[in-house]
Amino acid sequence: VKIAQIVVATALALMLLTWLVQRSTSSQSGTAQLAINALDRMSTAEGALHRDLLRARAGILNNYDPLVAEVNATRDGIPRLRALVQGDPAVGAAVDRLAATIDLQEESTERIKSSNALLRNSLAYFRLFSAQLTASSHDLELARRIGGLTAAMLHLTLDTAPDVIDEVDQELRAISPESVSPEGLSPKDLSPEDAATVRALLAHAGLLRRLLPAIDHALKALFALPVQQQQ
Amino acid sequence: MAALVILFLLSPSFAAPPVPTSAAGDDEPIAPIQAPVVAEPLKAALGERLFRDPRLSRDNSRSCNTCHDLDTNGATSNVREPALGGGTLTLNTPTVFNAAANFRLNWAGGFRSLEAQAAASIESPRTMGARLPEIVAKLAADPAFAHDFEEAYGHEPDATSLIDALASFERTLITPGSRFDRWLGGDATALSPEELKGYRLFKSLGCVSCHQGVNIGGNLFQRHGIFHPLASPEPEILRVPSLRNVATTAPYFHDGSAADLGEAVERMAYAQLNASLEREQVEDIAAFLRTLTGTFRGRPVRPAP
Repeated sequence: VKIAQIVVATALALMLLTWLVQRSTSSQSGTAQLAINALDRMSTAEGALHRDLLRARAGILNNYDPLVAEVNATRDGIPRLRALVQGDPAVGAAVDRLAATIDLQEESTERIKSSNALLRNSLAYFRLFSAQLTASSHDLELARRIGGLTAAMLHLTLDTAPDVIDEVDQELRAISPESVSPEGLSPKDLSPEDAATVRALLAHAGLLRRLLPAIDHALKALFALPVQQQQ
Repeated sequence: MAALVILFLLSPSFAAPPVPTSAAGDDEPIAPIQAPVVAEPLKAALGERLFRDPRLSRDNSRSCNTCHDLDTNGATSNVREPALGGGTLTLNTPTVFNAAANFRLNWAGGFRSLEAQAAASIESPRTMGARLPEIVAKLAADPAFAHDFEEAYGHEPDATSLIDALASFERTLITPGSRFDRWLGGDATALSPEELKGYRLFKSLGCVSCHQGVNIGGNLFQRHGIFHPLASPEPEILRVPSLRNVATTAPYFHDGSAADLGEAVERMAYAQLNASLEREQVEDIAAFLRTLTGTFRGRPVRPAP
C-alpha cells in the first residue's frame, strides 16, 4: 500500500510540477508563482506541524494552539490552489488528491493530540502510584513486581516493538490482584491501601500500554503521508 | 463500588513544577486572551442587531440571544433549552463568549466556522426552524435592515451577508481581563494564595493536559469517561470546552448534569483521571477556576438567573 501511495504521489507531483513549469514560461507565470507560493506556505506549515507533534510527544509543547494553527495553514492552501488551477481538470485532480491526504493528516493529528493529553497524565500518575507503593509498602514481593513493571514501562516509552509490549503484559499479569495466573498476587496478600493503589496504578498502566504504541504508530503513519510528494 | 474508589494521595514528589509566586513564567500552558480587533464595525454592528432579532426564527419567537444571553454568561442557566415545537434540545447550550477562539464549534465539534454553525442553528428545526431565504425576505421588507445591509455590504440583504454579519459579531464576543489573565500578564497581586494553589493543582493533577491554550480548552477533541462514566454517553467524543468564564456557566457538561463547579471538578477528576479528590483540593481548584471570569464591554461576565 505504501509503495502504491508513493507511486501515485510521485505521478501527481510530476503532473503538478509539469503544470507549474508550463505556466511559469507562459503568459500565466503570475498564476504559477502564486501556486508555488501557496505550496511553499503549506510545506512550511507541514514542517512546523511535524516538529510540534514531536515536541508534544516529548512533553515540551504544553499548549496545542500551535498545532491548530499549523493544521489550518496546511488546509488554507487547498482553496487557493483550487482557484488557481481552475480549467485544468488533470491538475485539479492532483489538488483533490493532495486535499484528501491533508484530511488524513488532520485526522491523525487530532488522534495524536487526544491520545497525547491522556498519555502525559497517565505517565505522571503511573510514576506517582509506583513511587507510593515502592516507598510505603512493607510487602517486598509487591515492591519487586512494581519495580519490574516500572522497568518494562520505561522500556515501552523508548521502544513500542511487540516484544516490549509482551514484556509489559507479562509484568501486568504478574502484578494484577485479579490475575488468574499462578504467578499473580492474590488480593489477600495486599493491605486494603496497597490494593487500592495497585488498582489505580494498573488502570493507568493499562492505558499507557495501549497509548504508547498507538501514538508511535500514528506519528509514523502521519510522517509517511505523501503530502510533500503530492506538492 | 467503594473498593473501586482510589485513594488519591498527593505526594510531595508529585507536586507541579514550582509556579512563580510573583508572576507567570514564560512557559505557562495558558495564554491570556486579547480584546478583539473589530476590523469591520458596520458588519459587526449589523450582526448584533441580527443576533438579537427574533425574526431569525421560524415563528419569530426567539433570537440567538434567547439561548445566548449577552447580558449574563452568553448562555442561560437551563440544563437544556426548550426546543421549538416542544420538549428540550438534546444537549446543554454552550456559551457564545469566546466561541470564536475554539477550533471547532458545538459540543461534538461538528462545525469548523462560526458561519457554518450559525447557518445550521438557524435552519435546525428544533432550534430556530427557519429557512435563510425566508429570513432574507423578512429583513429586506424592513427599511432599517435594508439600509444597514446596504451600508455594510453595499447591497440588499442576502443569505451570505446575513451569516457573515452574525459571524463578524460573534468574533467580537471575547472576554479579556480575567484576574488569571492579569496574573499571566505579570500582576502578582491578581491571585490569592489559595487560587495559586488551585492553579498548581490544576496543572499537577492533569486538568491542564486538555484545558490549555488561549481558550483554556477548545483546541482538541477528547473522549469522556476514560476511567469511569462522566455523564450521558453520547456524544462519545467531545470538543474540549473552554474554561473561560466557567464559574458563570453552570450547569456543566454536555448534558448539563453537574449543578455546580465543585461537583463538576470532582466528577471530571474521577472520570477522566481516576483521581478521587479531597474536599480541599476541589475547593482550591474551584477557587482557581473562579479567576477565569473575564469582562464583556467592561463588565464582568455573570451567571444567568
